[in-house]
Order: sequence, then C-alpha cells, then structure tokens
Amino acid sequence: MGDFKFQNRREFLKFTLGSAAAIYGLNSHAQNNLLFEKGFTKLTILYTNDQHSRIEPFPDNDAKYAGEGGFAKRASLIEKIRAEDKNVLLLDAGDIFQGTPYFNYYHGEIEYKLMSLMQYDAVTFGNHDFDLGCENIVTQMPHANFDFINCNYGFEDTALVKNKKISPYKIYKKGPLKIGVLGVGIDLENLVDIKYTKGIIYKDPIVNANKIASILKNEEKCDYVICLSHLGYKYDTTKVSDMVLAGRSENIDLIIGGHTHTFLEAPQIVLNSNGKEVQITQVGWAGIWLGKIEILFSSYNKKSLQNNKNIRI
Amino acid sequence: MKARVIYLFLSILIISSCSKNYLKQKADFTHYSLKQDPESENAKITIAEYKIKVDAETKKVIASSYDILIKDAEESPLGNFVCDALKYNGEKEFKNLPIDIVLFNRGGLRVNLPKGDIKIINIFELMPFENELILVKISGEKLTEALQTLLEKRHPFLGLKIKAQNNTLVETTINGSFIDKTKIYTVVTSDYLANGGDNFLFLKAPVAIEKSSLKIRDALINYCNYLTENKKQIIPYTDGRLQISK
Repeated sequence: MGDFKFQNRREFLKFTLGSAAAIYGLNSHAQNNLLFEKGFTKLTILYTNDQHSRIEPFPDNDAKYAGEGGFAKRASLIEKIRAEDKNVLLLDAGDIFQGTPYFNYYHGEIEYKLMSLMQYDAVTFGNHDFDLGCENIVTQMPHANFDFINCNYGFEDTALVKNKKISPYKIYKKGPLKIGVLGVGIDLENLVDIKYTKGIIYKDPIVNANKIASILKNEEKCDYVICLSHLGYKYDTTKVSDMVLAGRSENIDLIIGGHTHTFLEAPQIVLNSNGKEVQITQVGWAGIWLGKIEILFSSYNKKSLQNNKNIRI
Repeated sequence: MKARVIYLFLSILIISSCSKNYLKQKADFTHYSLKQDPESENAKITIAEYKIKVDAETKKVIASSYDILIKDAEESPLGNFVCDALKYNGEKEFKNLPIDIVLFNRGGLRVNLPKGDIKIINIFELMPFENELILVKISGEKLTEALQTLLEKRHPFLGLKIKAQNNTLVETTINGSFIDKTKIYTVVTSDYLANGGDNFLFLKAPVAIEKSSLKIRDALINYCNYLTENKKQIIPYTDGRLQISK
C-alpha cells in the first residue's frame, strides 16, 4: 500500500518536473529555483572512497588510468558545483591514506590539508588509515577540518581515546534539511599490522549501525540517514559487506561504501529488514570518479502527510 | 480577552506541531570522471610545496631491468627478484645465519616492475607499505603448515622446491632434502607476515625472532643499488622452484 503511494508520487513528480522543463525550456538552475519555490528542497551529496593518497593524477604511462584523478581537479570541480548547488554535503568512505610516496614522506598531512580546502564535511576510517597507527592519525588531525565518523571501533586503549573530532554520528543541517551521517569500519585483523592496531576494539557493524541509525531517524528526526561504510561492497563468503548490512539494516537510506574499489555505475538497491529500499553506492578508488547524488525532498507536516494518503493521480 | 489568549495558545500549538519534515522524493546518481578538468589554483599551490621533495626523491634511476618483472604468474619473476633482494639484505642485517628460506606474500607486491630504467618511484609503487625486514626461526612442523598456502596463493618464496599436482602438494624439498619436522629453520620475511598478516599464522609464536629497522622498500632499493654498483642488470627469471602439473 505504502509502496504503491510512493510509486505514484514519484511518477507524478517525474511527470510534472519533466513537463515544466519541457514547456519552459528551463536550464537546471532555473529548474532548481522552480523546485525551490514549489516547496521542494534539493540536497547534493558529493563523495569519494579509497583515495589512497593519489594527490596527483595517475602518471601518463599508467596502463589503465593515465591522467585520471587528482586532488586539484577535484577541488575545482567541487568549487564549481558549490557555486550552483546550495545544499552540498561532501563525504568520504575511508582509505584516504597509502598508495603514493606522498603518504610515505608526509604521512597523510597533504591529504587532510587538501580535503579541508575542499571543505569535506565528514569521513569514516578505512583500514589503510591505520597504516601508521592511531598516533599518526592524531598527528595529522590538526590538518583536518572535518569530522571522523565511526560507531564500531573502540578506541579507549589507543591514542584516539576521547578524540573530539571522532564521533559515532553527526547531524548536518543543509538548508532546512537534517541529514544524519554514521560510519562503520571493517575488521582490521589480517588487514593492518597488529603493531598499529593494538588496542582498537572491533564491534559488530550491523548492530551498532542499526542502533545509531535509530537514534538519527527516530530520536533526532533526521530527514535522511547516510551510512559511510568501509566494509566492502559484497563478498562470495558470508563476510559482512554493504549488501549484508543493507539487508539487515533499519533506518538507513543510503550506504556510501569503500574498500573493494568497486565502480558502481548505478546504485544497488536492497530491501532492508522492514522491506524499505536502501541504496548502495561506491566510486572505485583513487579519486578517478567523484560521486554525485541529487536528492529532492518535499516538505510535509503531520497534517499534510495525512492528506497525502488520499492523493491519487 | 480570555478567548484571545486561548486562540493564541492554540495557534502556537498548531504552528509548533506543524514543524516541517522532509521526505525523499527522487534521488539521481551520477558521477564525474576526472580527466581533462581544470585544476584548482589553491590546491596546486598546496601540492607544490610537497611535490618538490617527492619528485626529487622518487625520480632517481637506481637500476636497469632487462625485461618487465611480472607479479602474477605461477612462479613469478617479480616474486623471485624480491626474495633475492630480501636474502641479500637479510645476510647483512641478521646475526642468525644462514638463512634457509625467504617468504613473502603475493598481495604485498602491488605492481609489476617495468623494462628499462627502474626509478625509486617504481619501488614505492611496488612496495608502498612501511613493513620491515625480520628474521624468525620456526620448526619444520610449522614450515609444513605453510606449504599449502604458499602453493594455493602463489606466494613468492626462496629456499624451497615445491612440486604439486593442481592444488595438491606432491613433494617439497629444502636444499635437496625433505623437511625435517623437528629441525629449526631460519626464515627471512616482513614483520607484517611474521605477525600473522595475510593468514601467515604459521609464523606466529616462532622459536626465535630478530627484528631489523630496515623497511622492505629500502631493502629493495639497497639491492637495486648493489646490482648497479656491480654493473649488473636485473634479469627476470624463474627456476622451477614451484612446479605444478595439471
């Protein structure tokens, strides 16, 4: 029943927006204004994962990705998008570190500096972010003007204990929207040398993600809940992944994933434990792609939601 | 008056209960492929101060290779080269000699080495990790546990000769004799693997351990320098240390 309603509303929206644009020949900017006036609010989510210290584009002799990626190109692109879109959320799903000599010589300093320049809002931890240990993250954090979000690592016995930049979730107010962001990380055993992960406690990502997502949706009344995940897209085994998490989740709308370096052309849709759609996305690695999601929200209050039930197109 | 107050109270109540929420109606997913886009001047300025040092260090030519060294092969020429380099460095670093075996993990070799000039950047790309050279002594019994993994995962090794049919071990020898389960063998590897990384669990809890502070990457650079100083080129080779019949 509920699904049927959504289907209609979506079709309705597609129809109205499409015809408005067709009739008036509007450009996207004008369309945005039109939507805004009609009570729709647009959120633009920009995202990366597994940047792996690829500060400069791949070298010209690279067999696969010659000339692709590069932080300076991404910075100018983001600047351009920000000039057009008002409500922009910029996120990363982990493994910022490791992969080029920039990390070996400077230990993540330049990665964090450039991401601060691009005004990233939040990141989650990938396994390679621990490649020089928690102490190194603490050393580099003064260069990071963004939040670190994770709800399934215990840092009590590490240098990251009570770190003010780390939290299980954050709420970002973009225009009138309240966007909840949580983060989950992969089991570090066998991925990172134990001399660097000593003291980090790995906790069940599904249990903890659901706990936080419920806070964000039900208590904090967020309009949309995003999970930054470094679990990996999917595996042949029963190992927990974004696919597994999505299917067993509640209250998560979107998973921005990483770790498996998967280039997803279109979002993977999974039904959660309540039969609601969760979308999973991931943009490969090394900043070859910058992901972009444009979401339209309509405002409602209790009364109008009541009325909506009776709308039939 | 009273009615007015009640009216006011009611309107406040209505307004506050009607605080807006937002419902997703439509989500469009796209992506930008970053190729020919212009670069941000600000970002370029930030990068420039770091790039000078990185470029100066990494563009030095340290060796020359007769041909490409491939990482993914049944017996990999790149794996053999890395094992030779670790043995060369191990003999200088450790007192616990002689070295019987060198073990490495295939996943730890990140890229092939090109034909021709080998620059420091190539070694960085091959070995971006900060792992260090280490020596461990393990029993022949533990070493036996390692064989199946070495075979299945095609991990690089030196000092053993493994014969197999598909993924079944047929015969393993070390210096021409079978592995003695009670004997202690000296293994040079990386500290990451010695800590059980990449499922090298058989290296955990060794009989003896000797650490170095030499990074694997620096060990490879040392070996390249040694070859060049001795006017030697890198020659990719395999020697049948892993023989698999179908």
